[in-house]
Order: sequence, then structure tokens, then C-alpha cells
Amino acid sequence: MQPDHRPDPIADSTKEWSRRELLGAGGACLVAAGIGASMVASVEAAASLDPAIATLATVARDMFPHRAVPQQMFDDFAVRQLGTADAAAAQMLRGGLQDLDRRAGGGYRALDASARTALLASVAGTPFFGTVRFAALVTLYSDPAVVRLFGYEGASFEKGGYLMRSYDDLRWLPDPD
Amino acid sequence: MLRQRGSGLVDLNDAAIVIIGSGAGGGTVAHELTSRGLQVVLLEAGRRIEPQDFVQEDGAAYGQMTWLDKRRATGSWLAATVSPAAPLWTVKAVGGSTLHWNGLAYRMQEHEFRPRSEYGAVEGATLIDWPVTLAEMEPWYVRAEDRLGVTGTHGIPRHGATNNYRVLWNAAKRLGYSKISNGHIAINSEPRDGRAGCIQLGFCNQGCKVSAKWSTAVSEIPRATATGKLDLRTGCMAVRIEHDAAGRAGAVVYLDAAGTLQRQRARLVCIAGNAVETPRLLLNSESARFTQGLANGAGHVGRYYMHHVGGGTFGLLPKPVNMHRGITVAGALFDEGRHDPRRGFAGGYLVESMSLAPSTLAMLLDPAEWGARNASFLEGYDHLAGMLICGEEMPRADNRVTLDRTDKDHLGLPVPVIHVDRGANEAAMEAHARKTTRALFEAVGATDIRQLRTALATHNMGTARMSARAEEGVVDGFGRAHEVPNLFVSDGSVFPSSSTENPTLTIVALAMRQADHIARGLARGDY
Repeated sequence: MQPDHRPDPIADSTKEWSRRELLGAGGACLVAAGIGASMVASVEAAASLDPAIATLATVARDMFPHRAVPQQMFDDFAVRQLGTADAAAAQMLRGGLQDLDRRAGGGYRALDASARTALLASVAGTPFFGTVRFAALVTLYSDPAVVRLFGYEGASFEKGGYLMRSYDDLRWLPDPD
Repeated sequence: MLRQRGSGLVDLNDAAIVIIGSGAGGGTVAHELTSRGLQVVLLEAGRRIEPQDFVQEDGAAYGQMTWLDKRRATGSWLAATVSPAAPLWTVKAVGGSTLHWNGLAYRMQEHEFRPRSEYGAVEGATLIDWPVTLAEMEPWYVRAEDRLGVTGTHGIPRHGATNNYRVLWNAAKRLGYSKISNGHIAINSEPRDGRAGCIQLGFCNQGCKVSAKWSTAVSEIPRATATGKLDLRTGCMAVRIEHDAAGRAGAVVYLDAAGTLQRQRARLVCIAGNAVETPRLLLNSESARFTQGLANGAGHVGRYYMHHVGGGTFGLLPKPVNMHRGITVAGALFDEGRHDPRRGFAGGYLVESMSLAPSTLAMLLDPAEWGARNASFLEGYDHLAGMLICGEEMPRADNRVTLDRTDKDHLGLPVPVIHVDRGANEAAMEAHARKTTRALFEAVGATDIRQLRTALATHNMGTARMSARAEEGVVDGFGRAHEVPNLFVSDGSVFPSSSTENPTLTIVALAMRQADHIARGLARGDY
């Protein structure tokens, strides 16, 4: 990744859900991760019944706008968050999403990317924002498939560590004494 | 009452030497005493975690080994806001926090044993000099370095320079600094003392899977066990120390792994539960005779809690670094570790080369980051390098551990409350350190530089401090309670000041010295 690679907030997160998308790149990742088609189908079914899922997925993506991360990651995150058994937590999330829609003058997802970012910034001090940010952060950056995209190689023991391969391969600065 | 025993060596009715806590302090005292032929009961609240079971993923490892019993943080320190229920990052397992330490084994500097004399009055601080000098400590440091296998001592070679350390070294050189080293790390650079050589796994904080890093779990405790003199009881949480009519410690009451209350008679007790649990146990041991808690007649137990001035800086470099490859904290810059009041604060700080996995890094970026700028920084992960600050924090009487008797944990014990207000000296030091790390990153061409929130407290000190005069502290220069002649504190709680250096080597050296003192006393019939 180059330092100047700075993705714009993702526009396509506002797209309508479709089975084709779910079974696209993101769906393939899920299947590879051992989450079968039944899960994908249930995600789709849940999303069609509950627009809050699409809004929460968009919020999470706006907070962490990594272009290379499949949309399915964010969708799945939203389903799990809203499906929590903790009724108070779910209610807090739904309240926050409704508040965002209200502040957006109709629908958060109807705004363009820069307007959504500005709106999120205006609620950055709320428990809703903090909860979603932290949960999305943990979900996203603890996922080996996600952080591998950024050059993080994860667990090293199975590969024998880095002693014989590259713990000291930085050559663009002089060697220490 | 059940006859709960560990190895079955010591009967509950035997008046035993009882050590509470198996980390750097307690594990070391246990080895030192058993190797002198003395029987020891070692109570450890946690369980044993085998090296092959360590997990190389930050979140899972944190859940596996962290001490997460109920606590509460108050005050102006960041932990009270961002992590009030878990303000410390210490380990609950055999080996204590030596499982997750980084292995930095630095000696304290000569002047740091005399902070009151050297620094004078510091706003809000209650400084005293240590009742021990560097000259007295030197032979114990030598012995500790040998035991831990510290690189750059005893003919032990240094590690090769990791990528992350290469960035720190070059940055420091370009700014004209001269004291930069990747030596003095208690991680084997080659096989030694029954432990493997390091294979640069990274994940030092998640437990070393090859046991190249020293811990009491893979060094002191197996050796103590091999003497046949150790009765290690895991899953056993000490809840109270009882005393006899003469005011001497006479028994340790603990909850065993089955949740049953047990009472081990004792002739001598060493407490090494880290700087929150140690004062907590003393305060919980209040009695008609010791109404403020055991060893607390002068009112110092729990006060002067210190956790170092922390924080860190990460920078996006023009070319790949791959900081995650190899030893997590691979070296340090020592020039700013001096005491130089012209900088506007007392004491000094180290800049330590440090890597973090993306999940932890994202969590600690300051302020709570999100959006495109944050995303782009993390997408450049393989171009990032990191530096950690470790600076002297002043002892302040109101920065302290107290008990909330209205709030009980899962065992029914009063919850410890850790209160810290940051002082002006700490703020000035942190501002200076941030400027330094920024300049270091700029010197090697970093295009985006971010500060970390002060991380969770891993170095915990001061809450049962040693003092020459009984009215100024809790224990004497050997860690023996001023008030209770057969009660010792064997961990970092005894530090009267925090110094600049990572505390473990000093804890181990003090524990060795204390054990020698105890053994001599026992031979004389003192206890």
C-alpha cells in the first residue's frame, strides 16, 4: 500500500442488496471462511425485512472506508450487531440509527458520502457512535483476511517465525552499528 | 475444612513460608528459597498456561491471560475514561505478568535511587529516596541478568536488529542521539539455560511459544519444583492474612480452585500480587489490632500508585518496514532517560521501539480515529514503524488503591478502586516525549505521524513503598513490613519511585536480595 493511497468514502454501500452481490466476492469470502450459503441466505432475508441492517452496514463502512474490504464484511457485521441477544444494546443501536435518519432529513443512506461523513462527525461523541466504532474496529481489524490486505501477516509460529526470513530485511536505511 | 493441598508437601497446619503470587517477584523468591533447601507454599490465583497454548492473536491472548477481576478506575488518567473496568493489563496465570512482558531488562540509574535528593520538591509529589543504593543493588543486578539471560551481559550475544529497531536507530542517529541499543533484553539470542533461542516470532506480549523469553513460568518455577521443596497451589486467591497475639503474620486464608475457603498456617509471608492486589490484600486484612489494614499503621498502604508516563507514536514510512516481524520491543533510545530539569520536568523517559498488531493499533490511535484518514493510515500497515514512551511518573499520595466495601467482586471481595490524577510533571514530560518521537519519525521521512493514547498500565508500582523511616512507608529496604516482622512484600509495590526503566529486572534483583535476607534470618532463628 502506498502512503498516498487514500480511498474515498465508499459510495456503493448505499446500493440495494441483491443476491448476486451477496454471492459475489464477499459471499465467496464467507464461504471460504466456513460460513455457508445458508448464512448468506439468512443475511439476505434479514436485510430485506430490516432496513436498519443496511444503514448500520453503511455507517460501519463510512467509519472504516477500506475500499479493498468486501461489502459482505460490513453487512455481516450489521446483522450480528442488530441480532444481539442484549435487548438494551439492540435498542440503543436502533435508536442511534433512527436518529441518524432523522438528522439526515429522511434517510442516512440517501445522503452522498461527504454528507454522511459530516453527519457522523456531528454525532461522534454519542454512545451510539462509540459503540459502533469500537465493535466495527474489533471485528474488522481482528479479521486475518482483512488485515492481510494491509500487509499484516498474522500468526507466525506455524511459519517458524521470521528469524530465517525477513525480520531484518529493511535495506533502505543504513545498518545499525 | 478440606485438606486442600498442592503437591501435598505442606500440611495446612504446618507453619509454612507462604508466598502469594508467582510472577517476577514471588516466583523469584520461591526459587531462591527452595534452592536453599527451604519448603515453600506458593499460592497463585491463576492457572497454568502451557507455552504451546499461547495464542498469536491480540484479542484472544488478552482474554486468555489478563487479570480481569472487577476493578474500577477513577481520576483524570485516560484509563478512567476509556477502560474504567479494566485499567491495568497484567496477567492472572502461573508466571504472572512475566508471561506477557517484553523482556526489557534495564538497570535503574544511580540517581534514580535518590529522587528526593536529586529532583528536590516536585509539585504534588511525595518523593523519598530509596533505602537502597545502586552500589548495593549491583551484585543483585548481575545475578538477575545471569538468571534471566539478558543479552549483552554474561557473554550473551545481542539479537540482530529488527526492521522496527532499524527505524528507531537511524532516526536517533540522524537527530544526533548516541545512546541507542538493542541489548539488555531477557530473550535468548541463542539456546541457554534450558530455553530455546528466539526465532523472531513477534507476539512477545501474547506469551512466548518457544520459551526464548524468560518468565518465572518457564524458569524459576520449574526449577523450584525440581528441588522437591515447592508446594505450588494454582487457582488459589489469598483473601486475608491473619496475625497472632503478638502481631505477627500467622496464617493465610485463601479461596482454593474449588471456591472453598482454606487456611494455611504460616511462619513467614511474602506478598507479590502486583501493585493493586498487594495493597488490596493488606487492606482486606484489617483487624481489631490493625484497624487500617495490615502494615498500614502509617497510612501508606495503597498510596503512591505509579504506572509510568506512557503513550507512543507510529509513523508511516516511505518504504516497507514490516514492524510485526520479530521481537515486539526490540531496543531503545536512552539519551532522554537522564534527569535534566532544563527540559521542564523531573526525571526522564525512554523511547522504545515497539510494534503493534493492527487491531491493537487501531484501538489505541489518538484521538478515537475513524474515517478516510484513519483507513489510509492502517492500509499502510506494512510501512508503519512504532515507538513507545516509558517515563518516570511521580509518587503522589492521592494516586492510590482503595477498597470499595459496597461493591463486591465474583468472590465477594471488596472491589479495588485505582485513582490517578495526572500531574504537571507528567504532562510536561509527555509533551516533550511526543515532540521527540515526532522529530524522530520526521528524521526518517515519515509522511503521516500519529500519537497513541496512553496504553493500559502494565508497569505498576509504589503501593507498599519501602522507606528507611517507618513513618514514611510500608516496608524496609529488604521489603519487610515495618509493622509486622515476618511479613514481606516482594513485588514492584515496594518501589518508592518509578524510575525511567521497565521495572522487572529491578523487581527480580530486589526479590533475590530479599530471599537472601530471609534465608539468613531463618538460619539465625529470626522467624
